[in-house]
Amino acid sequence: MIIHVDMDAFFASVEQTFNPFLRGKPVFVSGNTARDSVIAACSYEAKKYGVKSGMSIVEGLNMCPGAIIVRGNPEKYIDTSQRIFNVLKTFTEKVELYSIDEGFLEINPENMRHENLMRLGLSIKNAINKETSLTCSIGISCNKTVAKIASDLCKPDGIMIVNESEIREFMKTLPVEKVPGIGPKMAEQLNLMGIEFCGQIEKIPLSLLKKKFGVRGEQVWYLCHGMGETKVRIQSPEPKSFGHSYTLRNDTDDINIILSVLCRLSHQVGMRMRQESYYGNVVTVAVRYSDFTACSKRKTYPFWFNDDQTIFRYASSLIFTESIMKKIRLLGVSVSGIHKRYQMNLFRDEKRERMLKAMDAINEKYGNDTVFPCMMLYEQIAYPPVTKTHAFMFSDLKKISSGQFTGAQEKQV
Amino acid sequence: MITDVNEPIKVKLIVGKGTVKIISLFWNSRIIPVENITYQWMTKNGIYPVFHFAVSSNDAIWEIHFDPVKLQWKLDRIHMDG
Repeated sequence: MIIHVDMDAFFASVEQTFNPFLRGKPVFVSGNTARDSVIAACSYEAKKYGVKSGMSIVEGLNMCPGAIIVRGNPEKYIDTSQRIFNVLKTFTEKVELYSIDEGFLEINPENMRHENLMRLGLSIKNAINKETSLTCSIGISCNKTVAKIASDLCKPDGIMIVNESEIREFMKTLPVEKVPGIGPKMAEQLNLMGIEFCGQIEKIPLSLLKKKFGVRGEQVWYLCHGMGETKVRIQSPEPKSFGHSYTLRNDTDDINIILSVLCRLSHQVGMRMRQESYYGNVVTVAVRYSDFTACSKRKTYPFWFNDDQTIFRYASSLIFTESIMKKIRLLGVSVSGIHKRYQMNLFRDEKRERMLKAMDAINEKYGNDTVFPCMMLYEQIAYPPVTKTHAFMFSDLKKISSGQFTGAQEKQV
Repeated sequence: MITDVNEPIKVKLIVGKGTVKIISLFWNSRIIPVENITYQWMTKNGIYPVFHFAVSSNDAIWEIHFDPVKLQWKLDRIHMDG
């Protein structure tokens, strides 16, 4: 049996627990409190007004004018998520981390009786609430698809069990857009074919959906029949790419800020690739403009790399192929074509490799961004941070390696 | 309303077996009695942990953290109703 545990309005609930003044009030959690930012999560009090995650704050405020906008704190959510998954692991070792606030548990068939399942679900809910003071919704079924739908339908703070014999009836009246894996566009296409509810797909032959939508059609057919994976994935799959993106605090066409942000994103991507010993040979730069139009450029190179400077060089050369006519809102850098090993480069820069190794060791010990390329400072000068930052120059690395460096120079940048 | 502070602070507390009870905060020549800890979480600065707490007084939520490397408490920000 599969248990799907989904935290209720996770980020917003964390903020309401953290700050009791927010309890019972409509809350938007966003990366930035500016009005053109996007709502990452909203409390149930805001959801009552029709506000949804992904809306802009302006849209949200139009629907729910009294909402309180809270700047999200990812570190707080990550720590809370880790505590939740530690609780889940006390029930079974077979726990799949599906996202920061939801996971699947696989349990033994001996607990399959309805009352046992209900008792187990309640125990999980109580244990999570005791650890975090947060509520969750739990869906239990024989596969991941139905368990996820069930937890979604019993939100907030509910438990729903769908036994194998009940799945057909359960799916019959379920709107297709409620099925995880069927997005709004696919739902629209299905509606055009006269399929509004999953039960209606029974009249459609699999071959027809396959012909119309290819492999996706086949997947949709199985999903609408309430079929899905019956085992959890404990090990995370091999990464296909490493990427970071960043929404600028203010839309800009200042090339120095753009390069500074690209440099930071390249630094973050490179650092993660080196931590996990991956190399890649495809660089992609994604740009979203102030009018929400977007474009991306990618290029494949004949050799593999994972150092910040190479990623930054290629990313900045890609951005220069795009004539920047409008102000930029978001930038993203990713590296794909990932391999664990790479073909030895005859012209490798060993000195640079040693420097990166030293830089990674310092950042690993003292925290990310303890040492970083100076170019990243430009963005921080343009948008001064509220808190102090430790800034080092590359030249300080020599002092560190020779023991001359006495400590972090705290600078207000 | 949120006010960023980022200043050192003195904290009176009782440490038990794996638990912390914060009694009061001393900041800006003021003694702030703490009602309870509303939230706590941990972050890492490199390999070193940093312990964060949100504590409530009658009129505000005080976001503080303890850096065990520097043995220092800091007041990060104050959250007030309204």
